[in-house]
Amino acid sequence: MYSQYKAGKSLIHRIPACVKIIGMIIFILTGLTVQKPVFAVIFFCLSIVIAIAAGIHPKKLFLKTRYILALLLTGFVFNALSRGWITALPVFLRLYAIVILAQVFIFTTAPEELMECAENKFHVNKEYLISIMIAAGFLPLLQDSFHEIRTAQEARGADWMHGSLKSKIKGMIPLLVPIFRFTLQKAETLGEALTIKGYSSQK
Amino acid sequence: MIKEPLFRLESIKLRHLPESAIDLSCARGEVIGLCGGNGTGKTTLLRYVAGLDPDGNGKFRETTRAIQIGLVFQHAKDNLVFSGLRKDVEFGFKNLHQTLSDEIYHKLLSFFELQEEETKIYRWMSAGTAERAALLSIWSQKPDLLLLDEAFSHQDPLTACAIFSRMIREVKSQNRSIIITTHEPEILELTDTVYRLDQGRITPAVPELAETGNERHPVLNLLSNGCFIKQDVQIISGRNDMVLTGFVPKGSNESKIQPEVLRLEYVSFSYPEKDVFVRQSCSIKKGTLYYLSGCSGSGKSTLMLLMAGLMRHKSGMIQIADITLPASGSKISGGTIKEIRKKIGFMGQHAERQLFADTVWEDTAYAPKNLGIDASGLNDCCENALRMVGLQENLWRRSPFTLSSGEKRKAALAGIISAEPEILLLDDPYAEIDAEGIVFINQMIRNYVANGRTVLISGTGRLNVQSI
Repeated sequence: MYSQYKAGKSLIHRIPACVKIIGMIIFILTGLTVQKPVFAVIFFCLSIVIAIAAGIHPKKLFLKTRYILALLLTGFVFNALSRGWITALPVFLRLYAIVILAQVFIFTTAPEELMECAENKFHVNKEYLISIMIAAGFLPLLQDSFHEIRTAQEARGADWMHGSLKSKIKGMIPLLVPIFRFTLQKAETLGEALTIKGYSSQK
Repeated sequence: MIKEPLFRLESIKLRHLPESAIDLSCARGEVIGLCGGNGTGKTTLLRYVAGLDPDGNGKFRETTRAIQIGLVFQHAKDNLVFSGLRKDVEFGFKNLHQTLSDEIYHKLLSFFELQEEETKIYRWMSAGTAERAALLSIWSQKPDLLLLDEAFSHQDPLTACAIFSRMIREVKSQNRSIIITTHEPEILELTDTVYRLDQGRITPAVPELAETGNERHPVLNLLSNGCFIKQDVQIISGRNDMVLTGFVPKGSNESKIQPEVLRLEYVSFSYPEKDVFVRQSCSIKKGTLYYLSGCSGSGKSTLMLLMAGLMRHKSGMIQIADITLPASGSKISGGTIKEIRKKIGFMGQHAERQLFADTVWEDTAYAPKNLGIDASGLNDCCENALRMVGLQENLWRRSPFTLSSGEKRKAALAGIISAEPEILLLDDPYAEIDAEGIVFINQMIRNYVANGRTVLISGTGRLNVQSI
C-alpha cells in the first residue's frame, strides 16, 4: 500500500480523500447499474481519462493491472463464447474500468490522508487506525532490511541461485536468521517508540 | 546558584551488569555527557532512566517517574512510528493534546537542517538525515529530560556541534536537561559535566581526556601520524559533491604510479524519481587508502554499492581489475560475480545486522567458506581477521547476539575482512565505535594498506588537508 502511492500535484491528487472515496463509490455504482452497452464504453473511456489526469501513463497502468487484466480477459472469452461478445464486452469494460479507478485511487491517495479521513469523517476507531498504519508502515521496513541483509551477505559471497535444493535451503539461513531477529527487535522498539512518544492505549 | 535537582540515582544495579552501582544526579538545566567504551552499559542506563528497562533487581525506575522523558534511540530509524516525519511529529503532539501548526513544523525543520527533506519518507533518508529526523520527532515534544543515545554518530562534526549547541541553548533557557552518550569529543566539550561509565561505576571525566585524547576526526588520526602521503584528489558529483582523496603509505615508493584496481567511467545511476550520478568517473589504485567525504545524503553509500557491484549502474562502465561490470540489464555469470566478491569486501552502515551464526567464529568463517578458501587456510583467515579488529579471544566462541553494539560491529567487520579482499569498502566504519575500537580499526586499515591492498572509507568529516 505504501509503496504504491506516488506523491504528485495533479488534479486528482488534490481532491480530498473523502471526496475521492465517495466519488469512487458513486461512480462504480452507476457504472454497474446502468445497463446500456454504450454507457459501458463511456465509463471505460472516462476511467482512462481520469487515470491520465492523475498523471499515470497508460503503459504503466497496463503493467500494474496486467495480472488482473489477464483474469478479466479469460472471463471475457468464456462469456463471449457462451453469450456472444455484445453482452460480454460491456461487462468486461465495466469491470476493467473499476480496476483502473481503484488503481488511480491507490496511486493518488496518501495512506495518511486516507486514515485521517476515516478517523474524522467516518469515525472509525482510532486504535484500529493506528494499528493499521503501523502495520502498513512495517512492511516496507521489512522489505528494506531484507534487501540490506541480502546485500551484506551477497558481499560476503552468498549465492542463492546455484547448488542443490538442500544447499539452497541451507543457504537461506544467513538471510532468515537476521530477518527474524530484525522483525522481533523492530516490533519491540516500535512499542517502545510509541511509549516514548507518550502514546497509551488506555486513553 | 543552587540548581533545582531533576532526579538522582543511587547505587542502581544495571541489567546485564551485576557488578554495577550507578550514582548519578542531574539538575534542571544541566547538560550531561556520558562516555565510556562499547559495552559498558551506557545504553542500558539511558533505557533504565527512560523506564524502558528494569534495573538488575527487576525494578523499573522510581525516581524519574514524574518527569517527562524523551529518549532518542541509537538507531535513528527505530524512533519512527509512521512512515513520514510530519505524521510522526503530529502523533507526538496529539499524545500531548496539542496540534502542530505549519509554522512550528517549519521552524523545527530548519532547527535540524531538514528543510529539503520535508516530504521524504523515512525509508529514503540517508543515515545522517534520518538521525536528524529522529531527533526532531522527540525534541518537538519538549521533554523535561532528553536522553540522546549516540544521536550524532552519522553527522559531520560541524553540523553536529551546530545543532547540539542550538539544542543546549534552548534547553537551558527552558530549564530542561539533556543526557547524551557519545564517543565524539567535540560533542562532550559542549556539555556541562562529563561522566565516564566504566565497569559499572560512574566517574567524572574531563572532556579533553575523555576519549581519543584529541579532538580530531578518526580519519585524521589515521592519516596524521606521518605514515601516509596525499596522492590525488578526485571530485565526484552525486546529489552533492563528494571528495575522494587518495593516500599512499610513506616509504612505499610514493613516486611510482600504482596500477589501477577499480575504475568508474561515465557511470550514471538513478533511484526512481531522482538521479544520483550522471556520467561520473573515478579511478582507484592499488595499495592506496581512499577517504570519500561528503555531506549526509550526497550518495556515498550508493557509490560504494555500485563499486562493489552490489547495485547495478544504469549506464557507463565499471572495471574491477580485469573484469568489466556491465550496466544493469545485461547478465553477468555466477563465476564473474564470485570473482568480484573475492576482490571486493563491503561493509554497510548496519553491518551488525548481517550476523547470523551461532558463534562469532562461525560468522567470521562465512565469507571465506563461500569464496572457496579451503579448510586449512580458514582458521588462519578467521583468527587474523578477529585479531585485526581487536575482538578479545574470549568472545570468539560466544554468540554474536550477546555482544554489545560496538562489539557487534567489530565482529561484522571481521566477517568481511576474513575473506581478505583486495579492495575493502567501509561505509562510515567509525560510527558508534569507541576510542579503543577506533585505534584497532585504524591499525587494521594501516596494515591492510601496507600489504598492498586498497581501502576506501566514507565519512561525513571534511578533511583539512593542510593539517596532514
